[in-house]
Amino acid sequence: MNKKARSKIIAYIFLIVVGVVMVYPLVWLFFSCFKTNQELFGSLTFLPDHFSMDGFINGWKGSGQFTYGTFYKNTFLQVIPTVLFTVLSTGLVAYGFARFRFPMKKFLFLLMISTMMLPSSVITIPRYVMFNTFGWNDTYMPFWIPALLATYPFFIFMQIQFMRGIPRELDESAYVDGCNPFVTYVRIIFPLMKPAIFSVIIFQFLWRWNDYYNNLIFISSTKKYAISLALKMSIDSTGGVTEWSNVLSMSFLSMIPPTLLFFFAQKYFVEGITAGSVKG
Amino acid sequence: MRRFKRITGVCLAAGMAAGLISGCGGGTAAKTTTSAAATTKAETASQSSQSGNSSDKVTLRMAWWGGDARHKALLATIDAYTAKHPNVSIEAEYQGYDGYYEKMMTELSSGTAPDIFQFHANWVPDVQGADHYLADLSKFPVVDYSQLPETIIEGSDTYKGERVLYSCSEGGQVMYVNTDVASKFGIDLTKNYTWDEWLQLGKSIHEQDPDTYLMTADIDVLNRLILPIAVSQQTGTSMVDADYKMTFSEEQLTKALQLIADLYDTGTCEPYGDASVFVGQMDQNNKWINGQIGVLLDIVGGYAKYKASITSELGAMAIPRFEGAKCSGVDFSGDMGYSINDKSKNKEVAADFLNYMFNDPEANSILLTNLGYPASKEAQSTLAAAGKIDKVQQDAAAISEKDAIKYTSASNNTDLETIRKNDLQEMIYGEMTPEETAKDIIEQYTDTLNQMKSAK
Repeated sequence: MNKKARSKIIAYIFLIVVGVVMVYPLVWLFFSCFKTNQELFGSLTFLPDHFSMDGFINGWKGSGQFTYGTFYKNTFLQVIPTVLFTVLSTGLVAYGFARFRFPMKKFLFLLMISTMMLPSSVITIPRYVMFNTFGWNDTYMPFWIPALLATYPFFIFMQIQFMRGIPRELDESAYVDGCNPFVTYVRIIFPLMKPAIFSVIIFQFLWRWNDYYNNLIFISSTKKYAISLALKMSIDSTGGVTEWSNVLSMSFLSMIPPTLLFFFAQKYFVEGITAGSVKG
Repeated sequence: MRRFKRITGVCLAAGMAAGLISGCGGGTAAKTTTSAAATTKAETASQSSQSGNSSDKVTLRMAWWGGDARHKALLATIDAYTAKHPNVSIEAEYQGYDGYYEKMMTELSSGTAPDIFQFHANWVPDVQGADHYLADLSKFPVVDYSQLPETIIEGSDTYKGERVLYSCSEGGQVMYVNTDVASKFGIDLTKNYTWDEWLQLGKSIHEQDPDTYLMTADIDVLNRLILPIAVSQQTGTSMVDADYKMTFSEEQLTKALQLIADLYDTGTCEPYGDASVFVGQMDQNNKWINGQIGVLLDIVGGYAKYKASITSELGAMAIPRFEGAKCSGVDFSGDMGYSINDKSKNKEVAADFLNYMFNDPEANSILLTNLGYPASKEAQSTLAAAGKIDKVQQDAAAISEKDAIKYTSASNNTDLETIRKNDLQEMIYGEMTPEETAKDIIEQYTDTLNQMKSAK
């Protein structure tokens, strides 16, 4: 065996070990869906004694009033518009910063970046008071409207960087052909931004899907709960009995949509990360 | 050029700081105006609803925390009530325990709280002290308090002369026993051990089987349950009285702390490090589940959780006492309850529903013990007669009530709790002796109590 093959084998062993360590919690979660509470906490076995779908069936039923069907519907209703609005708004703002000169541009850019540095917990109270005054509590408006107004500086920043890699000559030729700035964005820039936009979609979808905190603050009716709240709904640490197999089964199911999205969009996503680096 | 940049930088920083400050200021101003507006709105609304016809359509919002069993029981109760009162619809807002208190505080202070909500007796002083958020239930004659024991009404439901809570459960601390372990090692459930006997028993069990411990306790159990109990057993009253004065001496506190140190030194308690993995979830402790721990100390309300956690039978027994103890040291009081939002537009209807929940036999037969061990005497006796309350849970309640006292709300203050917690941990890790710990706790207690007194 030559030296090259040997080092390759070592590398693969290393990668496999790391991969197993990374995936182990998820596999554990999957097998724990079938365990009773006593099995779960009382033993260290990896595989359950029996495989039964009870956790999934009972878990799906929820606490009686609403099934997880409702909670999934709510989550999609909340997350999908938020993601779409984010893509539309942050792209436009990024276009403005990347391609145009206007008064106070530097100042406004700094302001935008500074909101990225601001911890979101700092603005929780003012935001709550403001949305409450608008009567938006217990609706999905606190999720949709900020997305529509491009309040996600990270995505703006990311897209500005990406746009800088797109040659200006393309814009100019579009102008020559009679496009106005907006049409230039829609017809020329936006399609070229595909990798960056997929990154925005994936990140934003994951973050909104997993967002527990804002849901807890703004949503009060159970019928409007998203999955993140629903999963916590039956965990009563003050004395109630929690059927962990139900909770874990539903947690497992809740991971599926973001995972699928990631797999389907992976091609573009990886492109998005590496695209800027080779063009130089 | 560079200097120019620097100046711009400074200006920007100043601008951002100013923005932050003015942003916060604006926030508070907006908050006060909205809450003021909400009050006036609520007042006009309540006047109109009083004069209005009782068959008007009314929608109530109701919030609680719990597990699946409680959710189902309360939803069924709501259905039963609305079937009888077709003009009333009740929107349920239920969740797990985590974040419930924070959410209620946010909603109360922003005027968006539900009309009726589950609340904990210990939260009342903080919340009602901040503003008049909870309605005085004595203004609604429909709410029948006659089934609640006087001690619960006085001790847990009343704040500054107003009845702001209707306790739905009661209880104190008790020891839960894995009966298989008990019979294996000869733990006598009927006996009220002294602490000395308890330590001896614990030592012998651990010597017989080094993997087995008589009991386990996390920091919260030590701090909130064992330490105050051990102090109160000597003084016969709660650690701090209603006038913010300490009722215990340094010597008495040292004795209580020494007891905790002994629990670990003798191997009676599972080592602190192992137990701290399961803070707040002792039912998930693998040693307890596998029968390597005999006893847990918790409140009566935790019964269902511990019963479900082990395959053996669960038993209850009294907490050990010092020789010549003046009382059991247990804080027996109302636990959870329900309150009505003072800003609610439909307080009358909410009060009627609240009364239905706790005093209607139909509701009692639906709710059973899903809201904890019922505080209402009527509910207790009918449920017991119908065999709906476990014998062991009944025993647990009776055991914890015997020779119990009621802690003052000052005694349960969270700042004081933190002082004890920090020092206790240092002691357990061997940084301080019990004597030093007692001295330090008393010093800090004096400061904090003075502050509390002057803030009052």
